[in-house]
Amino acid sequence: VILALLAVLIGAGPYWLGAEPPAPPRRIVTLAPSLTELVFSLGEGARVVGVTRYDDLAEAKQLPRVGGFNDPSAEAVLALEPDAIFTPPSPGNRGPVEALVRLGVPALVLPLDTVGDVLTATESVGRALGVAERAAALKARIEGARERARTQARGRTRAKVALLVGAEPLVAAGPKSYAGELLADAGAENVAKGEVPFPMLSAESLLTSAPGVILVAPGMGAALRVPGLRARVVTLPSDAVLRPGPRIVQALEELQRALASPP
Amino acid sequence: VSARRLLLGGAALLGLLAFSLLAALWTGAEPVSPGDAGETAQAILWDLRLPRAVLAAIVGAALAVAGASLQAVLKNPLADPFVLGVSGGAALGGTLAIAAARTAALTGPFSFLGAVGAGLLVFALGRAGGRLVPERTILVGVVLNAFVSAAITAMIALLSPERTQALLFWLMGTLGYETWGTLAGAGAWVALGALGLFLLSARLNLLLLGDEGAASLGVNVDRTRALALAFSALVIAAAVSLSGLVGFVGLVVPHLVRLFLGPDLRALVPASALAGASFLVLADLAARVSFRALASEPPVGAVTALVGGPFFLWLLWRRAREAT
Repeated sequence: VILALLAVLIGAGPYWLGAEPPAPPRRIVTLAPSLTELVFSLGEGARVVGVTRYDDLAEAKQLPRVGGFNDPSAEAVLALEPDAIFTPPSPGNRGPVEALVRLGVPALVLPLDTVGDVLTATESVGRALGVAERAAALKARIEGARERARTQARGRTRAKVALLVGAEPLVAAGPKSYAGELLADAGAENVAKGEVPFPMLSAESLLTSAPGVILVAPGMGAALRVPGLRARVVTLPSDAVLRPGPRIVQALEELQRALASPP
Repeated sequence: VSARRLLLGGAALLGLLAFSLLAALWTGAEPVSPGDAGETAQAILWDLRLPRAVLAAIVGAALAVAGASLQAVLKNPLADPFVLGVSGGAALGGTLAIAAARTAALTGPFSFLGAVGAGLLVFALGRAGGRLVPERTILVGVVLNAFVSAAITAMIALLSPERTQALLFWLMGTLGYETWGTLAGAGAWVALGALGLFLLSARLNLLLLGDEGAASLGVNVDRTRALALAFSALVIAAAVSLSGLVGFVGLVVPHLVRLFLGPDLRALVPASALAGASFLVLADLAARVSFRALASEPPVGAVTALVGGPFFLWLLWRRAREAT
């Protein structure tokens, strides 16, 4: 238990389950929308043969669905004859993924909690696909966008903001999550604190922290019922902020715009 | 029940199990069936579908056998395999593994340890005056279950949303892909426990006459009951550590079998094993096939009650109409 706990707390980087393929994989199943988007944005979308049912990228619309985060069907994945699986370290899909690894399909496991994780994942996927330069370019683009956002935010008053990804219970993006880091880049003071990437908030702690702005993911605003809350609630235009992949550039722009929009 | 009816029933159940296993091999998320050539088709058939069907059969048999025996030992038609508290221990062990481990391979062993630990605790506290008191044992089990479910709820509040989801999914009862080694071990374990319960079944019949009646016929009442509870705990431990909490099978399959074969445990115990195995294989088949429509494989524990509940009620209703 202690070893397993340590492994989780330390949060290792990307790793292969099963043997790392000797040549770049040509048929890939991605088990998270953000990873699908990552492969496509590296220009290698043609290699993706299966995605989750949450994938909504236009170019991936026609691809076979193999299940969700907790319930990918090992049979549906195997039938696509992939030579690699790209997956976040989701405890829910671990059973099917390990079964597939036993059957000879290696899995590249990519933690995606922080912006650093996203950048490392970009490098790893780029290396695995044999397009390391494009990965480096994407990485530079992400870093450049963050740098610009920070420059623009400099000198402005920092609004107190809660970025909510869940309403019942209240779940916020903490400062140690990629979303929290983007929020800081956009010049906001995050009312959520602590080490947990996406901490749960109590209604009382949310009121006490007195955010001026509450940013919510699309479709969530109606569910947010905290009596006495005086903050301006802004619904983000897309769920880019929920996608720890190349769309964090878009997420950052959306956060900046939401914070800049007049009350 | 006549010998003829028993023979027919046994043959029918064996046929049903064979049919279920073949059906499970023939159908799934993908349109692949035996006879399809190609490496992928072969892998889907023999490395995914077959071990999973065997796992479903082992778990289903274990739950149904334990349910049939516990309903007799406790003289309570509502008894199911989860009243003993063993399932609570397994749930706690599995929860710890899902909460902390990076691999799914630890969930089974951890829940098994939890099950064994809970079993030992329940049996230790269920003793009074040097003998195992069933009511006491069950009470300890129920309290343990309540405690564990509270502990799990508290842990859910602390875990990240994705681990919480994975945990809830597992707790509902899911079947995965185990290695042949695990399946062989679990199969032998369950077979041993089921055999023990079968050997006790004649004495358990006499217990239904009441303790005094059974004792006057030469049954060692305390020992029989303790052994039956212990064997039930053994098979339940294997079932819950392999699948989480698959409900409904252990409660209803014995009743279903009783409707056809009567209450004689010598028939009920083995027949429940066969029927439980078939039922869970078919329920899992339904879960796997529904992937085609849902792009999701629902936990088999949801399917068992969803499909089995209405079916059982319909059967009860038909029986009542026939009787009038």
